[in-house]
Amino acid sequence: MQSVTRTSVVAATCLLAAAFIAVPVFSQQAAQSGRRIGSTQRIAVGDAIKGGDMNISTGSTDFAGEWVVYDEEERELGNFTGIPHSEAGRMRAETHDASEWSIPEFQCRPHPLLAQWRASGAVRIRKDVDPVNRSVTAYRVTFIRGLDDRVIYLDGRPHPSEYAPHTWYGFSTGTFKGNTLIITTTHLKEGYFDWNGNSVSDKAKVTEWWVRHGNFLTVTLMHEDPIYLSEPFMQSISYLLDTHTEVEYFPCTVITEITSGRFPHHLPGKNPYLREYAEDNGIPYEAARGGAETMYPDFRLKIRAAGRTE
Amino acid sequence: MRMKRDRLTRGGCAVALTLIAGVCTLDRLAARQATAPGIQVLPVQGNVYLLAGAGGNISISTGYDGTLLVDAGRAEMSEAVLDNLEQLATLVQMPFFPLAPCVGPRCPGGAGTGAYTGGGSWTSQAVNGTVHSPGSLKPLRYIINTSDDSEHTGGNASIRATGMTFTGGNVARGAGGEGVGAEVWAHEAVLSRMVGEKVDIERHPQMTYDTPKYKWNGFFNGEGIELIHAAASTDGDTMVYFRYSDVISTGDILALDRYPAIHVDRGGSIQGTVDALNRVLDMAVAQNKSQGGTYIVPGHGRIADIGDVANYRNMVIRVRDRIQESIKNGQSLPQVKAARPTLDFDGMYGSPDAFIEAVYRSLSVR
Repeated sequence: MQSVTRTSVVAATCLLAAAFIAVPVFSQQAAQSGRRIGSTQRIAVGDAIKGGDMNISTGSTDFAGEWVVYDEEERELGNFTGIPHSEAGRMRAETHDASEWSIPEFQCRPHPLLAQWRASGAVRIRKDVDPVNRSVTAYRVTFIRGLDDRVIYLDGRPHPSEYAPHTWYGFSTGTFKGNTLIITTTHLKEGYFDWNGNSVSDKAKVTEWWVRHGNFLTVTLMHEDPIYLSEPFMQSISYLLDTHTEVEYFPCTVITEITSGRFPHHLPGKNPYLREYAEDNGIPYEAARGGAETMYPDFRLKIRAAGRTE
Repeated sequence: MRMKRDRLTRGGCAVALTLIAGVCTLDRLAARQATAPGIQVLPVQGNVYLLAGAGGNISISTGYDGTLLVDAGRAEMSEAVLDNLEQLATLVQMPFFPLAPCVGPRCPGGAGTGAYTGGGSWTSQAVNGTVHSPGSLKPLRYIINTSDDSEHTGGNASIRATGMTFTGGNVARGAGGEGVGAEVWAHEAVLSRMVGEKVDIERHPQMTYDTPKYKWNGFFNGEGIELIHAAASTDGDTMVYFRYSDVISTGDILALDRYPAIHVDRGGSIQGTVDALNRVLDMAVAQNKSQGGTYIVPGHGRIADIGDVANYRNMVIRVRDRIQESIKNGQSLPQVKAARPTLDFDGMYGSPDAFIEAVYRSLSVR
């Protein structure tokens, strides 16, 4: 009888031990199998907390709130320093006429995505939450001079068809890498990334890195454009959390500003204002015209050498 | 769209299985029902869908009154177009329920978001019967050609043959008239050119208009339709305006993936192109800040809105002005081409040679 009892206890202990070992194994399998539902990747909630590569956010950093721009920068007409223009991008910028803002279709045009972040003002960021598992499925961004919502999907959905409409903010999806939200945007309309003629084609792609340090939000933008840039162009900007700010309504009314029926632009080589910035700031015109090489330190040496020769 | 039973059953079953499998939104399904490589069907707005990848873009209105197409794509793509049309028409004309993410008395959100409202469930034999054998589709009744270009009219003959025109019993057999195929519409200039160029008669329009604007003789799928004449790409261009859906199908007046194809020897002109694009801008209303609202289906390329049309019109004007300046300075066509007046747009719109030549010729004629 005793031996039977002993045997039973040993067997029960073994089973219990096996169960303890097995539970994490099964849990792991469940988590792994949870990564694929349908054609898009999903992950178990626990994975998001650990960080690493993932296709759905569970909010390892919270970006929701009202933010005000902390630093800003505007470029003057003719200041293309440090911009990796392609030949096409330079031609587009140099033939730009700011009067194009007066055509009816552009008077209320919002700043396109790349320009919007760098425009002065405030931004509201809200969360969409899955009512079942409470994960963050999207961020919605409202810029003061923009459209109501720029949606950044975090639910693993693919980008739409090439035939789908393009928008001023494009179509954005995001994934968390650690505490950084990495956003990819395609389907942008042809627009601009600065007010002085620097243009964005409808084939551009933008990658954003959102990082939060306490009450600071830093957005780093990598802008790739096979048409108007010869190399990727990086910019960053910081915002400060402001709990006393509300993003205001931004009305816009179109009025008749042009009656001639023409579209304002400069013919190639005929823009009379391009040299003003270089002359006013004592910068060689060649440097002010931009191009990839003006982004790198070596360009200073080249310009200095050219100056000595002259 | 021939109502062949086998095709219908195949399409219906495929659709039903897909839906039952859980991919339940019409939009998403429509976008993924391509049966030929490269063909995509996307919802545009209201009654209107885009079928892309069969040559020129095809706009589709399908529903209560049947199916109406704006353009017919290339001839060799007709079978694929018909397959996709039948799948789309089945989805739109023969919807079955529950198309809801949650069915039951305690679904979040209540009625309209999936709550059980009675009147049908998966346990009903009638519903199951309908799912597995949907009724006959309404016929393809009209094709409207936006020009005589074969990218848009190539499929006229074969696609038209699968449709039906309700002529009235005194003209053809049956109460509504049947068996004569769908009716092809175009501007008068399209028919004249096809006759002149001895194009196969099966590709010809049977009905034409020769006024600046033609109002469809009644609602089709619940909305008025207008045909608006333009002389942009050719002298027989037509824009189709779906008034309730608020969609304009422009044909080759707008093509977001290429420069305008201006056929000067067929009555097209640069000024006609600018005028037509301005007309689209006049008709279109943005939902908010030059985005959304009226949607535009171009002859080629993606679905557009007023912001895209403005960008395209601006490009056309820039290039026109540059070439005009060159002509004023006495430059020849080779000199103009060598000056690369489209350099800043070639990456978006492709090879500019034909466009530069057409603009040069068009401006020189004046």
